Amino acid sequence: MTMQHTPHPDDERLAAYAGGDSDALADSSLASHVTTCDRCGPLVDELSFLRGALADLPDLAPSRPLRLIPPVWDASAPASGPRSWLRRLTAPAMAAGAGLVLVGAVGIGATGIAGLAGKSASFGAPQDAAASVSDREVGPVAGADSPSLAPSDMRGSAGSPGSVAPQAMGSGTPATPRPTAEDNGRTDYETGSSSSEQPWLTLLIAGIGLFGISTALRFSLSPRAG
Amino acid sequence: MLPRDPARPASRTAPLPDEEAVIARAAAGDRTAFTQLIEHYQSACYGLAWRLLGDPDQAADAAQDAFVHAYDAIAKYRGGLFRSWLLRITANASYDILRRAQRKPTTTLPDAEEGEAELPDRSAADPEAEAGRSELYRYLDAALRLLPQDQRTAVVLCDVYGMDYGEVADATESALGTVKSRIHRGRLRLRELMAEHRELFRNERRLDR
Repeated sequence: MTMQHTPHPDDERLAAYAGGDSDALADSSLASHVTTCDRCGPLVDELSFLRGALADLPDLAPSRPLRLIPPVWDASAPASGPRSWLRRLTAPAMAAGAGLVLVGAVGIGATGIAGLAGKSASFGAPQDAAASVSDREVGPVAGADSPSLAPSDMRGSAGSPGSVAPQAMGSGTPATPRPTAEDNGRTDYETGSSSSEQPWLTLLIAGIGLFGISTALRFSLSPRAG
Repeated sequence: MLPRDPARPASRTAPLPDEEAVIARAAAGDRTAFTQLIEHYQSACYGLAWRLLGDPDQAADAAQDAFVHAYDAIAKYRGGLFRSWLLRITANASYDILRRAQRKPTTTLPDAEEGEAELPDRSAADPEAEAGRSELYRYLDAALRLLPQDQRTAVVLCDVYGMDYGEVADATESALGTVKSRIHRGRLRLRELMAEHRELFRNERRLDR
């Protein structure tokens, strides 16, 4: 065995030297030790070879097919053709359906509010008329405590204000006209609302239908990843 | 007995002949071009993930995570070796999985220290199928799996995949000095693990000369 005047360097230092670390290579005393030492020389030699073999380790094939998401299934799908073409149309169709639903809902809401506003506006007219016609009690009492006047007002706003007051007032007592006014009012209210809200309702239903169909189409045409 | 080992292509994946053009198309949003790149390099990514994680399923997950990150980032790719760029992303994705696994003790990775008994038994190896360098590679991969996790990660990233110390420190979120020490200790430990197969080294060196 070669006699060494200097102690062996730390093994980690030798590993750095074998790995080509610039500071270890620049250490001339380390280099001269490695070239003369029977222990450290072969160790560095082995480590260098090991490092070279590690750097040559080949790539490894995946054990199962890898899902190359997100782009692969879109890219592998046919770029043209009826299915992909149809699928591309589903997004705007879904958006259009949602838009129709929104417009329909807003329209119905606005119609309802307009109806209520109209009712409020016409609320005073029959009252005044009633007061001027005959019985001072009927108008104020009915107007003050009975919600059943609201439908009758709706009827009034729907186009026959002249008939409201005589019919409600002419029945005598406050109790008597209420059922009549209520019944008539409900009927008139429903008739009036269906005529003004019908287009909005149609839009709403059409929107729901369009959205539902396009969503179903989109899912049914989606390629399956993996 | 040799641990379960993925199939080995003959060598490392070389760059595509028209790689720069394919990268440019992928960066411009061409998904087909991106897929072409990923399909070409998937063995490289999977190999790195497998060597870091030691588990085929986790390696596949890490590679797939890396593809998603690469897809998001390819518009910002600024030249250099595409393989190295993709491997850095794969290393980060693998390390994320490693960290999650370490936080959840129920899904621990194979314990390197406990696996010592799994060092390849040469008598069990098929001398024809595992001849030459491929036999050396199989033993090396087996030995890598027996390194402590931190040393294995550092050695794999630095010595197998050619990252410099700074890149390894970034990927593992460790200090530069810590990384150097892990690599040096890992190399020494690997040498010990390969000691009984030293004749492979000698054979290889004879072949090299």
